[in-house]
Amino acid sequence: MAIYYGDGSNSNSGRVLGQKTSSYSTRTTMNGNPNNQDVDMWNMLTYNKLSSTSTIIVSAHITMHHDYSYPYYGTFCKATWNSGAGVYRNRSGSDYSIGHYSNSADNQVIWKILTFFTAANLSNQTGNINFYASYTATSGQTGNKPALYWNPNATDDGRGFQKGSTCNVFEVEP
Amino acid sequence: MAIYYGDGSNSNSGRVIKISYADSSAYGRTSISGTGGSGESNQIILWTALTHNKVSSTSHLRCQMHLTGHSKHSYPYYGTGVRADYSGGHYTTFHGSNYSIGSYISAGQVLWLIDYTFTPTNLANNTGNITFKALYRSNSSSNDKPFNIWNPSSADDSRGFQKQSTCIITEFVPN
Repeated sequence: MAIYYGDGSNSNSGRVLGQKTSSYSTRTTMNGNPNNQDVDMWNMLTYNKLSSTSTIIVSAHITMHHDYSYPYYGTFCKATWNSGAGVYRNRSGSDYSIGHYSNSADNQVIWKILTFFTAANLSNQTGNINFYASYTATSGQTGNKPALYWNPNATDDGRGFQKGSTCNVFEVEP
Repeated sequence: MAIYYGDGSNSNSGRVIKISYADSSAYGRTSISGTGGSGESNQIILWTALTHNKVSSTSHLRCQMHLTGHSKHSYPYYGTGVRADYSGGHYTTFHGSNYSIGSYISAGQVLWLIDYTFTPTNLANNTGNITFKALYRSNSSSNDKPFNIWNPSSADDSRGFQKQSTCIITEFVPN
């Protein structure tokens, strides 16, 4: 039975059921995509989903250096479950900006993810769901990637520090 | 009466009440229009993202949108905004809404991000249906727009896929 609050809300809907965050801050050389294969650049986190009817909201801020493929439109947020037997590639709300400075390619690239996975997207699964920041390309197109380096540091600009990427996941009952 | 939890929080404040979300999959790749002239009457409402049924008159609504575009047009412009429609009125703001064109080339990606929190005062303390819209307006001229194509696809870069825009509304009661 639901608890009904004085402001009109209740304990059965519009609720945050769980949350998890992650970060990664090692400078990494990025790989181009093989033909018809995903590059799962960052296994952002594994979330233990509680409810079969809930939605997962994913936001991520990924820092990179030196643009490569552009505009490309090949990035996405991927969810897998049952050891990869279940997979959903979500191409909504995943894009990067290369912030090009003049003709130099020594630029910062920011990849933003703001997306959601409905219960149907995840086949009403509960339990462990893996979330990745991934990219690929259409058939026959290989070697594509948003940038050369992920998580830049002073190697990329002597004035700077080690940068890191972050991810937040919320499980909500709509 | 509030319920007091063991961690020191309670059911009356510091709480998320409701979350709504939508993507732009109903639209697909779209060529967008420039402003018809200056002022609100000539503005373009690009995306009516979703309607959130607001539960509380004292809650705040955080609006986050991620809009993807292709081929820059007006720059830097500063004419994009977000609007919330409530019963009997609306509130438009140009705060918390900006886009980045990446490289200064015509065939580049444009990333438009919105992050604005509507207060109860902004919404005249209304509850019920609140509709959120991404828009752009010109202060002085016509044919302004942040980009030419909304929701790019492989038509814009043959290596890519159909991209979509997203909107998340979080209703919360602050501490």
